Amino acid sequence: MSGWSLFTKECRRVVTGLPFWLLVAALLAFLSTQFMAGLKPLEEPQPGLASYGASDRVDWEKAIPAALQSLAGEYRENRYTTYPFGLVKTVRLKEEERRQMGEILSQLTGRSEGELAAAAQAPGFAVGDGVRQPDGSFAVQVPQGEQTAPSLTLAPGLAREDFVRLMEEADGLLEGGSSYAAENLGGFGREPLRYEEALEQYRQMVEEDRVTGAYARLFCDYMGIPLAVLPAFVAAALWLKDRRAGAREAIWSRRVSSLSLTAARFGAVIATVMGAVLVLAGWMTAVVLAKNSDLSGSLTAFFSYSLGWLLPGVLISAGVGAFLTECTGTPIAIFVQGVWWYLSLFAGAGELVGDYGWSLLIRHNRLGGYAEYRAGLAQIAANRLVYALAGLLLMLLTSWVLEQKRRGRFGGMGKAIRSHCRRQRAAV
Amino acid sequence: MEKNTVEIRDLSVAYGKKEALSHLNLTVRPGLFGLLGRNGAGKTTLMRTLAGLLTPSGGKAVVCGVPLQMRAQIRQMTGYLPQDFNVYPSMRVEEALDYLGVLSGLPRRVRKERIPALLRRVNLEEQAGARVRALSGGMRRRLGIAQALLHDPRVLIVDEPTAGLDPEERIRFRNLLGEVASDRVVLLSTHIVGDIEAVCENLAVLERGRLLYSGPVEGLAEQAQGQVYQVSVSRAQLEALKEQFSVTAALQEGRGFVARVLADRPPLPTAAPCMPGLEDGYLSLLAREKRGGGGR
Repeated sequence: MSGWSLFTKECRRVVTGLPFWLLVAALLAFLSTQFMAGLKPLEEPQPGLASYGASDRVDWEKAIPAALQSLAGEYRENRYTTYPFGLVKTVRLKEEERRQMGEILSQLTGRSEGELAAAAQAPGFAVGDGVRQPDGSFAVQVPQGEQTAPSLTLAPGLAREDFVRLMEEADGLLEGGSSYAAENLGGFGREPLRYEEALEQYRQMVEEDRVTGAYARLFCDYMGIPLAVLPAFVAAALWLKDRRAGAREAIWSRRVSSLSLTAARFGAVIATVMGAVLVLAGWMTAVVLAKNSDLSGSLTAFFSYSLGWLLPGVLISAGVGAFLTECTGTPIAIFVQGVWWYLSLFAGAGELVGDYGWSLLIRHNRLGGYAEYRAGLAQIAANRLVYALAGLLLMLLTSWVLEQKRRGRFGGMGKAIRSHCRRQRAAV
Repeated sequence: MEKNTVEIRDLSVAYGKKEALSHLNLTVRPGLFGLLGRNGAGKTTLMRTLAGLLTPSGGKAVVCGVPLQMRAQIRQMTGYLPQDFNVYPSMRVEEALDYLGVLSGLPRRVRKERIPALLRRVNLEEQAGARVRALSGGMRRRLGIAQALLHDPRVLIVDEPTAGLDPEERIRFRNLLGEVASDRVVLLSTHIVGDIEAVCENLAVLERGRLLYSGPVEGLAEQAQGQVYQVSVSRAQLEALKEQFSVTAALQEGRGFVARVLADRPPLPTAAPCMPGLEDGYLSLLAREKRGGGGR
């Protein structure tokens, strides 16, 4: 069997199809608007600068009053902004829920619900800056025009754990996705990066990452988004061609085994999609090295990251596309993979670095972040291996389904014959 | 068992509870063998089973010494032209044949030799660079024969190849089949009696999945021996005849008609007996089957 000939012919069929070029267009769009738009050369931090960026550490001195201000302001307006699954949503609480939110604020501030309600009625309280009081509590000054509205203080003695718990309850009242969820509270008070830390990050990017490695992870973060779903389109389109052309009998009656045919087609989808990715990886290697011409960079980082980080996503997406299309003879795979992709993308919307887990999309939305990457490398590797194997397993299952259909089972030609005979009898 | 034959023993194929082929026994030898039957008789089911596309529910079939279960070998040995033959419309003719040749495991050298030769044989040489979607129905059917012959199969299975073709194309196609049958088994399925009559020596008749007749073509005509009459009638008499008998032809002659009638006895005193043709034998067989008599 001329496996190579079949593989190359299937590759040709993929690249002459519209879905493939739509995928390439999407990759280029993501690349230019997300990755290249903010591409800057690495710069060694200089001592004495006002800011070196934000660290991952949380300054609770800052986060607590800021979170309280935000909640108080939204309570006054009874208008809360949340992001369930990444979509912005405005929540207005009903009377009973508003009362419950007032209770939470009351516990947070030590003010009675009546006082909070009264303060909300009058000029009301607006957002100001938090100031640590001599007694250790926070006073949230809330200027309102010429007046200074009542200030809110954090209830004396309220421990951080209780603060977090109460905020979590507030998030629950809002049905989740708010900034008051425990995992999001830190966003109110990131500590600034110190010079020594910024310098260490720079050193890691230059020496450990060899420059291109730091950019390659960010490249994979962005490219991983379209590549977790679009290969399903390409696979589904290819798999539907036989039925659409009415070519199933001509093909199924050939000697080629179902495994060889499926593997050639699956391999063609993977090879052409990854071929496009590797071309972009090569291009970005050149761009990054040109931007950092004074540094010595790795020529292979973009390629190795693309293969290890992106290829498994392509495998599973193409696997779902092939398998569901072979089973159903419809493009439902596109919908299924789309839903899975959407849930993966926005379920972890708050964690863009470091929380790799078992998600379809593993995020690393930061230039550098070598320490977080190394810390999570075992999980990343396990995640990618599982998805790669799952993709290959789906390919094998696809070939099995095809073989059953070629024997007249699972509908297959039997169904086509019955339909054909019914039409013939109706014509008679 | 002869090497170059198709042996079918007690073969049954079912779709759920419905039996599309029932306990079929048949032997097909090299040459053109016709498979005749109405729409829904089981011809396509038999064709696809022999091409390895359906799994029998009972019995067995052996194609040139290879049992049906050995699908890869069966698919290598059989060339199949389905009734609704199609390939990717955007492919060019030569490209489509090359693709199907790869699927048949043919090496590049063999494809490069055979494809131009086949295109010449089926008179599609000038359409080699045309897209499949641009071919006429007849051309597409000839492409179908070319792809069925591409891997030089020992058995060619052709399902209703002339349906929808104009007379000239039909004759061309039948001649082509006659040529390729010289050194292989060609199983030709059709519901058009004229096709069988023109090119086949032997045939089988299927009805509702059962074999009604198997044997020489002239033997089928003999099924209607003594049952075919010709009579001149008026229009009103013709309508009356149609209600009682099977009128196989009615040629207008002046103000009346000359009717050819299938009947156990003279339908009218003026009716004259005539020699039965293949179509008469076929219709007689079907009528007998309908009455529960079966074939002779």
